[in-house]
Amino acid sequence: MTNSPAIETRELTRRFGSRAAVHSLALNVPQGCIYGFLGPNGAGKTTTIRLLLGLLRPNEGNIFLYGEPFTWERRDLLRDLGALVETPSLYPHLTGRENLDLTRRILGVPRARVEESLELTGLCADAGRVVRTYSLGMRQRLGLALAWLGKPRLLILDEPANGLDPAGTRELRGWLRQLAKEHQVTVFLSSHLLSEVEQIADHIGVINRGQLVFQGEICNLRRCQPPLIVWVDRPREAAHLLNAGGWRVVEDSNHLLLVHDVSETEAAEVNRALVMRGIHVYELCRQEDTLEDLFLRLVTPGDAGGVA
Amino acid sequence: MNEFFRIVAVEGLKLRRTLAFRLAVLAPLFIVILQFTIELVRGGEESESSPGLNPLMGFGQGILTFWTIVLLPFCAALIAALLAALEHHGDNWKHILALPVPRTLLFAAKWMAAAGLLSLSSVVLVAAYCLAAAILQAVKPGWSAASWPVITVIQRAFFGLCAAGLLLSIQMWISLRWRSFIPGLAIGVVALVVNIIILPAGMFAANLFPWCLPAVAMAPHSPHRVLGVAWGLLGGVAVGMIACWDLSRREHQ
Repeated sequence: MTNSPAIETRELTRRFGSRAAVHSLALNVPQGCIYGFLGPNGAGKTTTIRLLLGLLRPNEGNIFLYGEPFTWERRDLLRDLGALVETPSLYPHLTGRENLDLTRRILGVPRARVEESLELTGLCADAGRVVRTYSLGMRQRLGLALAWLGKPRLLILDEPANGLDPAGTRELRGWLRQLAKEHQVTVFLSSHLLSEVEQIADHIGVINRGQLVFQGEICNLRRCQPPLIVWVDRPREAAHLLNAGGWRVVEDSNHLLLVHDVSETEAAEVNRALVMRGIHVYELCRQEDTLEDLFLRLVTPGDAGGVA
Repeated sequence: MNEFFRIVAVEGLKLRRTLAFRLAVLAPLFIVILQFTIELVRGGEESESSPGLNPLMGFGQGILTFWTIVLLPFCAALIAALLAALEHHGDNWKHILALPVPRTLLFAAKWMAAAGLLSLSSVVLVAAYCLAAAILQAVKPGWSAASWPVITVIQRAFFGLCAAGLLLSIQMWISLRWRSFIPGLAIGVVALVVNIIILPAGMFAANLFPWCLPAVAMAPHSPHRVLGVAWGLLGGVAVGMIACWDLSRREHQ
């Protein structure tokens, strides 16, 4: 039980009508890590989070939290979990301290936790003001304080840097690193911004159209081979030839071909096959991808990297 | 059980500085002040609303009639809508429904908060009546000898409150079920109009129509008072339980 993943999902599927918002999702979030859950808008991130929090029921599949099966009825497992989903859930007519106190009472945790959370998020000075006078960034901090109030083992944060200024975002990163390192808290961080996640996450999951297209350590994502770029005089004929040879080819503009999943030795074979057919190869190179390029390659329709 | 009381206390704390709380206090004050002003400006030694009666009882009867027919059902609709709006606004459901407590308790606590506010209104109504009656007795010479019918007024206000259970449960269910303010208020207003039509007509249906029940239960010589109280109270508990069960099973999308 102690080595079980903080979050594990098996064949997790959720449909809205005929559309599958999440399809056969197999998340594996190790304990104590910061897991970046990435995907473009509408990819299924928030639906996944709502399933993990028991706000939605899965159509198929199972969720395990720290090895325990999490179902609609097993709400006690939520005690180990703090969450901030999209915008913070706050009562604008109450003060920041009163907002925290409401959740504290429901959780049945000591009063001192309110002050601890306020201190951690830098809100002590403004805790006596009603929330309707708070800036967007302050509300976000209060939302984070709410998530941390019960000192959970697992924090699920959906776009937590929304509304934070650069200094606040930096502070958030430091805070999350501290929680993971010193308190062994697992952080499940959802975002559509790779730049936000790559600076902090050690594990990453990329979701696109409801399906997980990559999961693993962030360094493994960097190791994914970018496509081979081939500049030829007769691209259509070349594409036909390479496709027939079993390579996956996408025809680009300007006589360029993108050949996917090609190793170094295969690159020479591609070249040989084209030259043997009398096709002129002007250039053959591999573009060095940034992490952002890799991410975009994973989530661009018809250009899946196949690295999951 | 402790958990439930904790959640009920939290619902109470949420009411600070809310319109729902102000409404619960101001609505009964409004009706008492209105009736008081009418009695004060008119001459004569009898109550304006119930001639021939002990003037203090007549004064109380006037307040209770207007309260149970118009303001109590309308307040219940507004209180339900405002309490539900506390959670609908900013989509606070996604936070509270992800807390490690049974969902039925969360919804049951909302019912308790609504019932608490209506009870507070009834207390304010009776207290304001006592104050207004004392002033009237002092300033109107013909009223000085009248005996104080406080127990009767309390009893009738209490019956009216108990009978409001069913309409409150229906209003709460609608308000919590739909995010928009409109369905709850629309039903409240339509029911109020129906109330005003069928009550004076003396139709038996009034004894079963949820929004009429407070008036039926409060009326001095109503033969259906027990039915009104029992149907309102037990129906309210039953509908409340079904609603809590239904709401706790619903997904939050």
